[in-house]
Amino acid sequence: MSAAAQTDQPLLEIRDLTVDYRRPGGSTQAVRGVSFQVARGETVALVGESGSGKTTIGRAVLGLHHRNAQITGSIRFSGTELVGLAEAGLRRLRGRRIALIPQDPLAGLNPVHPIGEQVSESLRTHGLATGAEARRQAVQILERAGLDDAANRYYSYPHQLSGGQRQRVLIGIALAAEPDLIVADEPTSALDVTVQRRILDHIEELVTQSGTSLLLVTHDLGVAADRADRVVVLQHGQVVEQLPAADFLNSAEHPYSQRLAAAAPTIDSEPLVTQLPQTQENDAAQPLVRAQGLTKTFPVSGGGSVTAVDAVDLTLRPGQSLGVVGESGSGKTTVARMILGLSDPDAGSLTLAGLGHQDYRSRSGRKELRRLIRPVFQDPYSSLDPAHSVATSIAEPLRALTTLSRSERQRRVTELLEQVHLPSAAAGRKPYELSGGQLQRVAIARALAVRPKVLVCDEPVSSLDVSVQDQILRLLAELREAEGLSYLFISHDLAVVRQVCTEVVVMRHGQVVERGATREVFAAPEHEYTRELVAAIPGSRVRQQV
Amino acid sequence: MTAAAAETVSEGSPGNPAAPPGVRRSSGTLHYILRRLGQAVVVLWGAVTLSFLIIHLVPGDPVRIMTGGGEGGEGAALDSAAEAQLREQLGLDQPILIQYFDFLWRAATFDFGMSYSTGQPVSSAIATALPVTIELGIASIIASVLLALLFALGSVLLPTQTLRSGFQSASLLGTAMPSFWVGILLLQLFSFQLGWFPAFGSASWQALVLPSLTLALLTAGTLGQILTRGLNEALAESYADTARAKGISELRVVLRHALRNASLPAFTMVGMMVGGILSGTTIVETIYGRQGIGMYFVQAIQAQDFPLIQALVILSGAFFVIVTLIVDLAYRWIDPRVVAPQEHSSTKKRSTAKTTATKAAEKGGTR
Repeated sequence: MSAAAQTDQPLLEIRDLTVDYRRPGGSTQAVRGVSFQVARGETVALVGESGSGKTTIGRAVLGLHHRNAQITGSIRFSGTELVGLAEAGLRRLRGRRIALIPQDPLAGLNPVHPIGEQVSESLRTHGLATGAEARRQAVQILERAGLDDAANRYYSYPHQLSGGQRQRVLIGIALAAEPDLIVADEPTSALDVTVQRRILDHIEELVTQSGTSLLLVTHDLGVAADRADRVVVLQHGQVVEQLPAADFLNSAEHPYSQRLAAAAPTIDSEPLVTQLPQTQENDAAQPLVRAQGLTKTFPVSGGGSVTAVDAVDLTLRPGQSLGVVGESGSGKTTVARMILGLSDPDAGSLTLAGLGHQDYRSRSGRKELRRLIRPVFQDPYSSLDPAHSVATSIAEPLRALTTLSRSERQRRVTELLEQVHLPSAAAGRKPYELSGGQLQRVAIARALAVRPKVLVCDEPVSSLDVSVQDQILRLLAELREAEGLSYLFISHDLAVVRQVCTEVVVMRHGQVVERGATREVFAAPEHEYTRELVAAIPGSRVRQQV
Repeated sequence: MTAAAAETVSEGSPGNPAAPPGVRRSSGTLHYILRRLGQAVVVLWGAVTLSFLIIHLVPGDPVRIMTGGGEGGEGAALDSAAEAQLREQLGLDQPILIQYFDFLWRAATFDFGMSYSTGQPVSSAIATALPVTIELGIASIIASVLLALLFALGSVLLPTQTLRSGFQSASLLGTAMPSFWVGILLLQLFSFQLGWFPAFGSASWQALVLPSLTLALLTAGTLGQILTRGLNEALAESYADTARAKGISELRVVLRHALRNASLPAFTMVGMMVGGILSGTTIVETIYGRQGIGMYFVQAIQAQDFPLIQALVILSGAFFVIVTLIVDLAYRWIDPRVVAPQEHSSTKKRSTAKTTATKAAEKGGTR
């Protein structure tokens, strides 16, 4: 964020750090001989995929590692050795000189205490203020952290605030005692892209003003490139490369960093899909999904209702890949559910695969709909039955919707596994034996089993690491061509949508604010909101400088 | 529009996108209490109806059973005039619907007639027994909660894993031992051998110690396990790390941040324990010779004293209903997220429905 202040001694110096998790029957080495430094006023990003050890390092700096973790090596903070320091010594540093902004703003605050009390606790713990004075200061801190109307919100509970507001409270807690170093562990990954941008801007401003150092743990390479001075790339618990953030996306040297940088979709990555040529044949083809004036309202407890989807028109033609983009609460998932026939519109007309509303409501029509339009959901861990083998899960729609014999089903499962590039040995495995990316492949295979025409993908890659995400997106692009599939692709991630969608619809507050061919919408967004979304895509800042 | 306001709109508050927080709280609470009271009346009516039916569902003639005779046989001991008189007294000569409404009315006015075995009015018998049991119940629950807290805090705060698991296993012991055995054991040791506490009666506070301890040991193990589990879950939550990162001690993290979150499931259990006081004290009251409700239950059943049984069934039901209501209301005090539980449950239902539908769609089911 700011240029590294020139002082003789780094604020944080980590040397040969090793963290072992001891378990009954062995131990796992999460961090192996990691060394790096953070200067005063510097922002260093730790990037890597799940299992790279980045979070473990962040915890170790705070002394908040798990009870079973065995730490060797050295963590020197401002001249004090933290490895082996007694709990009481660590407590004096924690919160006072080293603070944490935790990962998930929705879970990071105690649900049963008012937010103001949670902030003033930071002050009271270190004897910086007590009673009414602590309360007064906490309000100021919350204001500084960007929480509107902080004085009146002092006694609010976390559930009464939005995700972005909660993250501001957590920032307030971290900043309260004016620490020298803040460890921010994925501080915005649970937030919408525009909120994420505002929060990151705000953190940046605050640390720059106060000269605080920031250790930013993130899987989002765009965020790292935009926000850090230096990037430390981790793989399997080891540092593979350290380089200035400005060079990271363009001139990383280590193959792994290059691979990471290449896999991260940004605003100018090459799209994976090409638009179908505009032929008369294509235009004349009957749309697979046709929604007009689609509206859905939900009752709000205590009277009234909220319009989740407000007069939305949508058309999905054969061969198209239509992205529906929007932030939480924009109504995109509600649209997907109606198109899957899982929920009924309150108004408007919806024709699905040539079936009118009345048709697909009937038992046989519903069966037809289930065959033609299939879902792929966000979290493969919860969308696959943990007790069923992969083969059983994939074959389930075949049993329900077709009359194939047992051996024919087995043949089809083998075929499908091959199509999604899974070894045939995977058929007998249970979900817990597979990785997230493999599970999402299984979910796609299951969706493909009955040869549907449309896949409705609801955030299919947002729980995956970038390199895995890239593989799944490539698989989807490949399958679209091979199978002649059409996609309805729901996502909050514009960079992802840009890669796999030929058309895009931007939703906000239940309404469509912009639509068109993906390339055009992203190159020249017309609606102000779309412009804001595009500008908020992480990684764009570095590009602009180059 | 300010930044934060824009966030509120775009992100919404979870589960309830557009509603401003806190607005519906008071009216929601009143509505909720009224609804729960309505439900309580329905449950009570069910309990009264069931206890009315007891007398008619028992095979054979209720009057004969009451008078100690079986089917015919010795029942002939009572002459037909006395039998008719009893029949009239119990209202059994009336049409069943009249009997039912009469019973409902008497239940509503706490008039349960005369106890057949003691000859006293049922309500006065209960009035003398109830305080004895309530006293025991309260003492045992306090003891149980204190023991459970001790178990749970030890199980999460002791310094080594061995100590923690040892402590946790020890808490299981109480649950594993049957209360009649524990009761006799405690009697042997503290009354007969050491002579610290009286063995029988319900006159002094000393007489309360052993029976309440017997009851508490049984429940404290389970309660402690629930609390330990809740504490461990809470301590693994992200907010516990936020708290630790402020530099506060683990003890304070446990007491101030984890305990209240962990106490919700334990609180449900305490509610059930309280609700079960009236019917759960039978064994202990028998061992220690306390003239409480549990003792009466046994006597009433042995003597086939229908009016007393009916009254006790209704009383237990009413007690349970009231306690459950209090527990549910207290939930909102412990956890501020429980703004109005009826919303909570309906959202839950909706999301369950969603999951089922979603699963069905994935599997190709047609519902």
